[in-house]
Order: sequence, then C-alpha cells, then structure tokens
Amino acid sequence: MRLDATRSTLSLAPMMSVARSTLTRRRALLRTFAAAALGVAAHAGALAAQPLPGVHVDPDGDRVRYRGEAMRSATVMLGNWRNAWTRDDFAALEGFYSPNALLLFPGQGTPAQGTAEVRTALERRLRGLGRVELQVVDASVADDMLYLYQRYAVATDPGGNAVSDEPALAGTATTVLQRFDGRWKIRAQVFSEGPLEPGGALLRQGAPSAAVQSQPGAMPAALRSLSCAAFEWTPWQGVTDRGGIVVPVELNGKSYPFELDTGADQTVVSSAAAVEQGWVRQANGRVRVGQVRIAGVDVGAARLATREQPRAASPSAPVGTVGLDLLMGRMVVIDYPGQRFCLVAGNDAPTELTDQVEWTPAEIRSGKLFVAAKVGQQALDGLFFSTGGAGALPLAVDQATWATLTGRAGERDATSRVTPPSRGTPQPFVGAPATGALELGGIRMESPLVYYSAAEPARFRGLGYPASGVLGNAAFWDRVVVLSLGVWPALGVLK
Amino acid sequence: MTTRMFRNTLAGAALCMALAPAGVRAQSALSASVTARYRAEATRDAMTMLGEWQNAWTRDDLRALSRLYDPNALLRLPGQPAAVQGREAVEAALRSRLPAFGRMEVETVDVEVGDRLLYLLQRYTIAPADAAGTSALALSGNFTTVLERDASGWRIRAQTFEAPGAGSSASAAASPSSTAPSAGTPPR
Repeated sequence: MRLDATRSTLSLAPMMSVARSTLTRRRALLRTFAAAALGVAAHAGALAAQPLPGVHVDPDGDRVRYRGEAMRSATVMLGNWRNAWTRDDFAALEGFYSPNALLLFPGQGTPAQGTAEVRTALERRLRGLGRVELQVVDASVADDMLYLYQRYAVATDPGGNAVSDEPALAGTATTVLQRFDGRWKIRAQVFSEGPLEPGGALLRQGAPSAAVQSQPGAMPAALRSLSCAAFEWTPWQGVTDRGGIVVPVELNGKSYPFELDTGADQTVVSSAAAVEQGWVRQANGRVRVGQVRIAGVDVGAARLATREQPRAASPSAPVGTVGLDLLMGRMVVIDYPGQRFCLVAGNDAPTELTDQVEWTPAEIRSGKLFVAAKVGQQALDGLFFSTGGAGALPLAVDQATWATLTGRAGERDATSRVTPPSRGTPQPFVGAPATGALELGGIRMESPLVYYSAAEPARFRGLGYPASGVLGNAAFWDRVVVLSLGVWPALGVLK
Repeated sequence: MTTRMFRNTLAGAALCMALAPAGVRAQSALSASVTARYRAEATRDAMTMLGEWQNAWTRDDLRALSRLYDPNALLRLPGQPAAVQGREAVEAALRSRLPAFGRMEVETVDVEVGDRLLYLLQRYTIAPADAAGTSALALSGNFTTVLERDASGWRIRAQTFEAPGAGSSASAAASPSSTAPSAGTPPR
C-alpha cells in the first residue's frame, strides 16, 4: 500500500472502528455511514496526500510510523514554540495556537480562550520571565490529537543576553495538540504550579552556554563548551515540519534570521535588508558588512551577494541565506534533535568534541561539500551535503540513478511526490524507497526514500561539475552532524 | 443481519456510488459529514461515560471507578503533590483519598474530540465528605481530563486536578493532610 492511499485510509479507519463499537445502540444508522465511508475509501485515490520524507512505508507499519512521525513533528513544533517563548516573540507564539486554543496559567482562575485572549495572557505573563524547559512525563498520540503531560520550569529573566537557571515558576503542564492541515497546533495548555526546587534542576539540566538563547533539548556533553544558537525549522507545507533551517545572524550588531544552506556556495542577503541597513551595493552587486556574527562567533567582515526580495512579512522570515563561503575554515555543528547550530574556529575545536565524532572524508569543490556514500551495493561518489533547497529530502539524485537505487522505472512507480517551496516555478520531486541501506561513515539508514526532480530528471548531470545528487537534512534528523571545513574537509556524526 | 440493517447498508453504499462521480468535493463533503456525525456520537459516548464516573465517585464505588481508567492512566487528585500512573497506583490513590471527598459537581469549560483522544477542561466543586456540600470547606478548581478510546469504548487516560485554591474558592481543605481521611471523619 502506498502512502498516498494510506493517509486517506488512516483518516477513515477511526470512523470504521466507531461504527463497529457502537453498533449495539445505533447499528442501523452507523451501518449506513460505514457503508458510505467504505465507498469513499474505495475512491480515496483521488484525494491527494503527500508522504513524509525519510519514512519508508510498508502496509503493516503505516500507523505506527505515522504516529512516530507525528510525535516527532510535534516535538519540532514545541521546540520552535519554546524558542519563541524565550525571545518573547508574541507574534510567532500566537501562530503556535489554534484559533480556539485555551490557555491557563497558575492562579489565573478563568482560562484565556481564542487567539486574542491567548496572546494577551502570554504578553501579561511572559514579560519578566526567562526561558522555559520542559520534560515529558506522559504522552499519547492519535492521528489528529496528541496529549502531553510535562514537567516545566520557567527561569527568571536576568535581562540582556544573560541566562538564568533560577526558577521563577515550576510545576506540571497538560498540553493537547490538534492537527490542522498536517501541522500541529496547541489546542489547550494548562499549567499547574508546583514546588520550585525541581524546576531548578530541570533548568540546570538544559543549561546553555553563554551564546545560546534557548534550548529545545538537553545538550550533549561534547557540545557544552561550544558557542551555539538555537535554530528553527521552517515547514514544507503539507509535507514536513522540518523543511529548512533558520539561524540568527548578526550583521553590524543587528540580528536577522537567515536560512542555512550548506549547498549554496555564497551567502546572500535580501535587497530590502541591505536598503534598511544603508549598505551601498557595489558594482558586482555585493554589499560589504563590517561585522558578521553567527552563533555568537565573530566571523569578521564579509561581502555578501544581494538578491531582489521584498521586505519580509514577518520578523521571523529569513532575509537571506548563509552559504558555505561564510563557514569556511571553521567547524560547524548541526544538532538536529536539539535544534542547535554551533560554530568553532577551525584550529580551536575542543577534543571532547572531535574525539566523539565519527568522521567521513569530504571534499570541497565547486563551492560544495562532497562526500562518498553507498546505497546498497551502489557507490555514490558525487553527493553534496545541503541543508537548503531540496535538502529537506534524505537523498535526491538523477532519475537514472534513482532507477538503479530503487529498482523502479519512473514517476508511475513512485510512492511519494513532494513539492518543495520555491521562489520560482514549483518543481515536484518524486520518490521511492531504496532497495538497500544508505551508508555514510557511521551512519546507516535503512531503505531511505530517494527522490528525483520530475521536471529535471537529469538536473545533477547538467550542473556543469561532477555531482550525482544531494544528501539532505532528513538523513540526519536524529543525529548531531559536524562539518570540518578546513584544509582536510570532513563530515562527521556525534557517536 | 435484519432486513432493516441490510437496507441501511445498501442505502449507504448507494449514497456513496451516487456521490463518487462527483469527485473530490463530494467526497470531502461526505467525509466532513461522517466526521461531524462521528464527533457528535463520540462526545455523547464520552459524556455518558463521564456521568458514570461522576456517579461512581459520589458512591465511593472504587471498583466501578477503577474500571473507567485506562491501564496506563495518569491521575493527580486534588491536593496530591504529584501524579501517579498505572492501574495499581491509580487504584491506590483513589482508595486512600476518595473517602475524604464528597459529592462532585462538574461544569464543562472546553472540550475537543479527535479520532481516538478527547480532551476536556472542567471546573469542579467537591463537597467535603461529612457536610453534604453545604460546608465552606468545599474544594473547587479546574481539572483536565484526556480520554482515550479503545475497543471497549472511552477510558480516562489522564486526569489532573489543579491544586485546589488556585483561582478557586478552596480553603484549608486543600492541603494534603486535611484531605486525607482522619480518625474524626467517619466514612460515608
């Protein structure tokens, strides 16, 4: 069974189960609806649904896998929610709640309900509070709702860029998420107050290094001495919540959100941001920025390319792209589960990090970081690692390679179809599970979904330099990836 | 299958066949209608079950009450410092604390039903065991209930009572010691 049919089956299955369980009382009526639902299921092929990258589908494990993925995407959403809380970004926070969400803080008495009341309650309570840490105690996930019981601790706000471990509020929270158009939103959030002491331990457990403003998850010991920044995922609407990565970049002392694209050879800033800063575009279209800081690390002055892009609609929308050029000579850490991005000077990488990494030699050519991987028995020498563009897919190659890796001929045999967000014409990618495992250094991913561009089946062969495909974020969602971008380039994963 | 059931089944199938050529829009409309019907039905079932729960609570019928909790249920009763989880722990918590609680009145503030989970926020007022609800020492506050559906129907998967006193008319009875059964409080 393919996922596009499976999604429809998933949504109807509970109704079928209801029909069975309540037959004794309203048997006749529900039989009518059950028959109707069966009929709809029979025609479900017409209902378009997109699969989730990196998830291999089989008939027996559909629901388990779907719910596993649902739980992961909810975790990502809550990580972004936590970042917005820490930043006091009320516009972003509002977006995480459903239109009829209910929010109840300790001592509030009457809950806030609806967008306006929820925002007012957040604005009233969050000012004067610092970061929040949560720890899941209990959870249950269904197709369209998810329940979580968590311990929480909210730190005091020490002001400025300082980070406090002193709890201002602690206790437990019941959170109910509801799925809207494939995305989780908070439907209800009820905080109860408890003793402060356990909250202090919870805050210390997630204690960040000085540059980190928020911590979606516990930090691995190997990263504790690094300078990191929390990153946020941008969604591929209807496909995955983990589409692109957005990191804060400081340009002349002002912080802007930038997309991280290790597959891009140059860093680009929007013309609107350039105008706002008063930078003068040079003849080559670039602007010179005197001071660039990424994840708390000063990377000096830089000449950035510009692209025509209207002023961002929201303060959290990316105003540019950080490419490989700005990261060269450094060690880059992408902590996918913890949503952290860390930067280290190339000759200053701590041994507690480098000793814990399993390295694979890489090569930088044509402005990209190439690694050698294997899928089944097929060696893939020209894969470059990209966190942007189609980088949300685990593996994208040309159609000819795709046919070899999947044992399928073309689009008709594909099990999934996704359309990444694009500034130009949307280009769908079609995918199917590889017949073998992807092996890259210490990473082994069983039967990853492999994609090719339906519009450009030979897009990599036509690049003008040797490349066989792109290795993207989805291959590493549960890993901490380290890129060594010095004279001996390498890609590694934390053991 | 009776003639009536058979006729209903055929009617459903015929309805579907009639709608099928109309394409996705018709399917979506039917799907939405089935979903709405399911949700109304599921909410009614859940409310019936919660009525049984409320009655069992008032009767101190521990056996009936325990049956309404999921084997993996999480429970935090009023005045309890932490939640307990699992059938045995839930039963133990109910056994030790229920005698101190009297009749419970609930008022639903918010409800949402999904395919397999249902969430409720309700306000509660619990009368003290020895005053039939007339004492000023009644407990009140909010509580959250999450129901989960299995083959046998809805069960309580999680139930957390806000610490009494927070935004409520609770009083000294909120403290764990005062809600625990004592020698001077005869069981009802």
